[in-house]
Amino acid sequence: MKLFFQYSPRGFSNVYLVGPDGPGSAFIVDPSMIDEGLLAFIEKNGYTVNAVLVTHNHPSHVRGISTLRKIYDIDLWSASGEVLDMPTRIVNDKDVISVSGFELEVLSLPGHTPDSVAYRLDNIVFLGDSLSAGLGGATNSDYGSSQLLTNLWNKILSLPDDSILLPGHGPPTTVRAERLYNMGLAEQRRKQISRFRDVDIFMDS
Amino acid sequence: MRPAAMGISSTCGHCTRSPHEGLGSAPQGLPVGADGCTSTLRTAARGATLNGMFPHLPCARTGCSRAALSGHAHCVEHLPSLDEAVKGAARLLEGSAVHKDLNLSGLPLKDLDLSRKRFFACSFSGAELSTLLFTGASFRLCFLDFCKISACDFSHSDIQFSSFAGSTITNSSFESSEIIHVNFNGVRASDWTLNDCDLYNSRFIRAELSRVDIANCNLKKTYFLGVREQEVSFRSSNTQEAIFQMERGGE
Repeated sequence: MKLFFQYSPRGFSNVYLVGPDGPGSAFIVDPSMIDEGLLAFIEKNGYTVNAVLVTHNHPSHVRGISTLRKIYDIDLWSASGEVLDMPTRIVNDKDVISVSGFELEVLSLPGHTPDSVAYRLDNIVFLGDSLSAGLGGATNSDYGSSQLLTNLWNKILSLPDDSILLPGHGPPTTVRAERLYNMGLAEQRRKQISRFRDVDIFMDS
Repeated sequence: MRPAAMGISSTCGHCTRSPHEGLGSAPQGLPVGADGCTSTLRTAARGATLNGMFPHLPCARTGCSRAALSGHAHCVEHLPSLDEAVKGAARLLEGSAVHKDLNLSGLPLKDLDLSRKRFFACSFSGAELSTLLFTGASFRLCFLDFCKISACDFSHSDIQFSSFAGSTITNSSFESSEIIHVNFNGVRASDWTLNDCDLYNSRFIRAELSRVDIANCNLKKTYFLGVREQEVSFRSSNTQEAIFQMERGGE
């Protein structure tokens, strides 16, 4: 397996391309931007991009799809039914999908957006914006934060310590590092615990 | 996700200048982005090739879920002979200029000259690295997290999209290096110099820094949240473009 990381200055986001060791089918996670460097890598390796995995439908993660579609015949995988007015193959929590010869597990992580998902490929997780190194994903409400936190603890931070987390923004990290140093998770957890404590006090009285 | 720092949107994504309009007048030989930017950070935008990815073969010891070390059937805890493994790793590291998919997690390595070596998707997680020369080396998607790094030289190195999270770094130099998209969250560092580095989009969240020099560095989009610092110098670095405090609501 080969992985190509591309930093997109448009939206400061991370684009990932995954393909086999030799020529063959490949997929892209969150194509924020498709530029000459990425296309050259695809061509040099004899890849045909036949799928795009979308972690959530935000412009800084999907903008490059329109370029890709002009070049390749791609399947679009997303928890949204439509991305950039294009129909998708809808993914749900715990689905195991076969993409470009790779098997990935879908982990639904609503919170940053309702359609946020992560894709797990063996010990590597493409996380989108649900979490980045040291920071929690942004949400619009307390409910969203609480939902995201619960899902992150249950589905991501319960993975083995050395699982590699590849976020939509910022540097790579691991489950162990996030459990120990993520400021956003610690803060959200404090809020959640204090909320539960308030409920307990209310119920006691 | 919106940028948390003030001023980010008013400057180029790579360098510290205002957004470029059209193609700039680049000095000959320098790559120019579509926006005309000639910053060295263009290298980051070009991406990193990672051939293979941590094969992750499990340790042969029943019930152990850790990955086996490269060239071995066991993880570091269950090796029949640690000494032999260390010697083998040293031979392997010194014998080749390019390393891909190595898992040397937890091994104690010392007194090696690994200058100008290139590492792709290699893991040194939890290793004890002492008196190693990584001068001019390059790293892509490498994990040197939870390591004990002492008296090591990473000067003039090119480290991108890698993690040193949770490592203890003492008496080491990373001077004059490209350190882009690198995770230093939770590091405990003392007597560490990062002078003249490009630290674009790197993170030092919850780090403990003591006697650390970060002078004359590019700190655009560099996060220093929840850092405990003592005698840290940011002299001549563009601290106004670093992130020391989150905006309300988080990133």
